[in-house]
Amino acid sequence: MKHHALQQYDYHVWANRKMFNRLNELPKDVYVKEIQSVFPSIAEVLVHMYVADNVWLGVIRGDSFEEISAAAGRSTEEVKGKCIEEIEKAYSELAEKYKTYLEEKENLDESISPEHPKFGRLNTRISELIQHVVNHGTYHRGNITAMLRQLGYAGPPTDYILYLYEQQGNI
Amino acid sequence: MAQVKQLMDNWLRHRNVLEELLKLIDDEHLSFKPWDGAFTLGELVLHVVQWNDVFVTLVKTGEFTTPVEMKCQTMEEIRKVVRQFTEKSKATYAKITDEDLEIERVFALSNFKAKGKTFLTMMYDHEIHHKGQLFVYTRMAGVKELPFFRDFK
Repeated sequence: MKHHALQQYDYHVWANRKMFNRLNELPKDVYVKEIQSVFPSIAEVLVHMYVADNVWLGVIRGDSFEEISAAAGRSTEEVKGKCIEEIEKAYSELAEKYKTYLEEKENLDESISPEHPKFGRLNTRISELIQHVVNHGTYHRGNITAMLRQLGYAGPPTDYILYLYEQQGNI
Repeated sequence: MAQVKQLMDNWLRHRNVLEELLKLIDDEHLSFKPWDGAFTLGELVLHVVQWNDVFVTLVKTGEFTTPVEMKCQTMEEIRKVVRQFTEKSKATYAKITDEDLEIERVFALSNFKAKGKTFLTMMYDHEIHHKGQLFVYTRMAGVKELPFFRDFK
């Protein structure tokens, strides 16, 4: 049986894809339009999610804080100010990196203890961090659906139950 | 029970933030509705806490009862209702056993069948997704300093 963390990550990728599909249907300026919200634009939310997912992949792999900081800077450069097609491509490539790593990992419940210079050592498990990545995405996809409404458009439904329905072939 | 405790602790870290967020919102925004057809701010909050209690009750008892429509006139009332639902959901959650997580339950609204642990994942996802929307509502209502989305304390 598939590990819960793998299924959750699969849901994360599915929900992001739904989000991009919807954004691709809308006029191009919707994605970059500045509004009073939790982020200045939807593009900024997508950049933040991408950078955060890169950071957590580094943490999960056991990279050092310095390596992760450098990767955060690089990933920001990769997507900041880019068109939606380029961001979507970057998301797909990152999802492949996650999947490759997670599928090769024998024990997803392995304990890890990443160290942060300000927050100290965190004793956790890889599966817990995957769950955090997914929850972080769920929260920001919630931001985006509301921001789309601010801009006059419906957001895509990305509820976990819809993912399960799709998996079961009901929709 | 270890698995259930961890699930409940994770959920509470998000519910705590919801309660913190509500302290920042004034009565004038209770009926704030950012677009036609949207939930008002108050309705969105009630939607989260009422439905998530339905999920937890379903996992523990197998009973599925849709929420009763509620109206709150002030933010203080909303905060009180949220606190009551949090305590109720917490009490039910605490009674869930690891065995309950494996029992198949039926979400009667759509006849969706899944194990208890799947419904708890749905409940968790539902809480966080709508909190993402609620943060946007709150920012649109003019609140500038918002808490972090998860309680790390």
